[in-house]
Amino acid sequence: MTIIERHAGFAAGACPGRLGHLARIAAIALLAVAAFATIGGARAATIHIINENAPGVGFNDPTPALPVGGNPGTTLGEQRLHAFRFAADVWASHLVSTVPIRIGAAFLPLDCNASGAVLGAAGAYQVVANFPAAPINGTWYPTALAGKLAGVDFAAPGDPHIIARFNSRLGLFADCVPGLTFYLGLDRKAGSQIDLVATLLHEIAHGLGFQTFTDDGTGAFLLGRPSIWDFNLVDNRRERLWVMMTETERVASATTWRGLSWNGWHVTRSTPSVLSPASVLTIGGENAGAAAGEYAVGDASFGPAIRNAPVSAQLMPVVDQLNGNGLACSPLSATNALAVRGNIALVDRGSCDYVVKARNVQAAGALGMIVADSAAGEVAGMPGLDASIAIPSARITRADGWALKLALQNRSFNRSGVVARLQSDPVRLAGTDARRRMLMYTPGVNAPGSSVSHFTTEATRNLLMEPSINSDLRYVLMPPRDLTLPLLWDLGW
Amino acid sequence: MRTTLSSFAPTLATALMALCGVASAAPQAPAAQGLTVVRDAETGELRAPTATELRALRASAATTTGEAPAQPQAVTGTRGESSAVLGERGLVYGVVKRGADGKLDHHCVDGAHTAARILDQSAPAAQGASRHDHH
Repeated sequence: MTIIERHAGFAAGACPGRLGHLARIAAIALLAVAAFATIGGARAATIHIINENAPGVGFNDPTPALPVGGNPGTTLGEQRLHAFRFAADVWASHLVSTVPIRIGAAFLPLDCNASGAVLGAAGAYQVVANFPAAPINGTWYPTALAGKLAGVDFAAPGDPHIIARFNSRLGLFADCVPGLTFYLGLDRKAGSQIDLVATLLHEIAHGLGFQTFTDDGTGAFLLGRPSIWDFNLVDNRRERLWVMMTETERVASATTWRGLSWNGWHVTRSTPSVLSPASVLTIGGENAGAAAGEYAVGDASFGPAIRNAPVSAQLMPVVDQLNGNGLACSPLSATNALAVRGNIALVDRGSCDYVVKARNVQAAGALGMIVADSAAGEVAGMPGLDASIAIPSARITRADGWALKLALQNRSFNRSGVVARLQSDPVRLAGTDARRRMLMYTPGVNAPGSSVSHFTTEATRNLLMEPSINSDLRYVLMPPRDLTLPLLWDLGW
Repeated sequence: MRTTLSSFAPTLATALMALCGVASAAPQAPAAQGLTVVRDAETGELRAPTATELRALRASAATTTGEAPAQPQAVTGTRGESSAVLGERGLVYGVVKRGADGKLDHHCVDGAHTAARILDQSAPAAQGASRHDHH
């Protein structure tokens, strides 16, 4: 892979302005040489990073930095570039294309405030349809994929196939989430920081084609044509492909939780080797009332897997807040300890890490832990690592938490008459439909760009292309660790 | 100057440089039509952009100014293919938000405006957006 320096003045407020003709000619010439040198070369794809930052900023930031986690750079800019190159090399080693892939990349001051920030953004710069050798005519392909399929570069010389922008101010200024920075190491030891390499791997995947160009909010095709992505989506309630549906039907399927599956062969045949059996919470007992039934749960990254440590016991809430909630962020009181001992503890999300809650209820003698979400939404997993945790844990939605608390109102100090059972589903995998097709992320309320163009948050193990970057990801794209590469194969890569 | 689609892009980098130079008095301002010039790759002269060049410039400028992306237009290339420059429209944004309890929520959303809306929300998580704790 080649780093191309092209100072096109993309740093906000930092147009180079006075670059001479020679510099411009040299920049374009460098690009040409790099592309020529790789055509007909190795089987793997070549990815060129086009450094679009102006001198002194972004990839060219001269701020001294100590080498970290295998990243040998000695300036902030060098370390960013090394991390980018590392992620691009991972991708290049898995792709096959005779057309070098150009990523126009820059670190820029993106939106942020004291509590939140845009980490970065990436996507296909251009889409192509009806090209020679197109597998399906009348269909948009990201330009990098179209180039691979046709053996022709459809992007104009110098234009990127993928554009990627990352926040240059993250954690470095008081008005941009102070204290939260990109971890620039290459060793997956980001801790509480943002793992830049994992973020890059995720964002580059979007640019390679892990996205639909169809508007998931309106269901409208881009300029009247479907995306190759859409041919692989199936509404699993009606077994209809997205491309065959009306706009209204597409919108409905994009907002039906567990309603949209990936129909591609490569992903479907790989799910058993990547995903674990789905965990399920079953509620019963003489006092369960309307709460009786099965509940979807998110798995924990810590403690034993539910499939290996199923548990069934009375469900008892922890109560340590004035509003009746129980956070379990500190050792349990005698009353709470009595309640959860020999039972399954129900606690609320928030204020401390999940592993802290698990440690505290385990120390009090609980046999398992169920965490009720504190925010609306669908089920998601619980990250964290702690080898001392020996009880299984699961996370449920806020709405389901409310339903369980309602059933727990009439209870004694240590009995509720509500029995919780955590076990694995004998058929369904965590993140698939009943046919073991991968579920896509389709929350009840459309999240533009997040819905449809990501895997479900129910997947276990965690996958690179869920809507967020989980801390336990490895830099692996294919089975048995991940399904990202099989999905790209389904698209034609 | 060559005018085919495939030969346009060599001018893009120089066009952007020219754009920066022209707009240096107000570098944050979106390029307004009539004030935009490009440097011809072959002659080196400044001139008005073609329609294709203008579309590409607007798409590229939108990624740095936060300007709403231009609606993409389909054009026909020399091999008969159709193509459309998405520019910022094709970007998927990764956003992180620290909640009131100090924990981080991640969101991956479409478009600068959606990302900005998440940042502006006081609630720790946007309904409908994915919520994963960072740790």
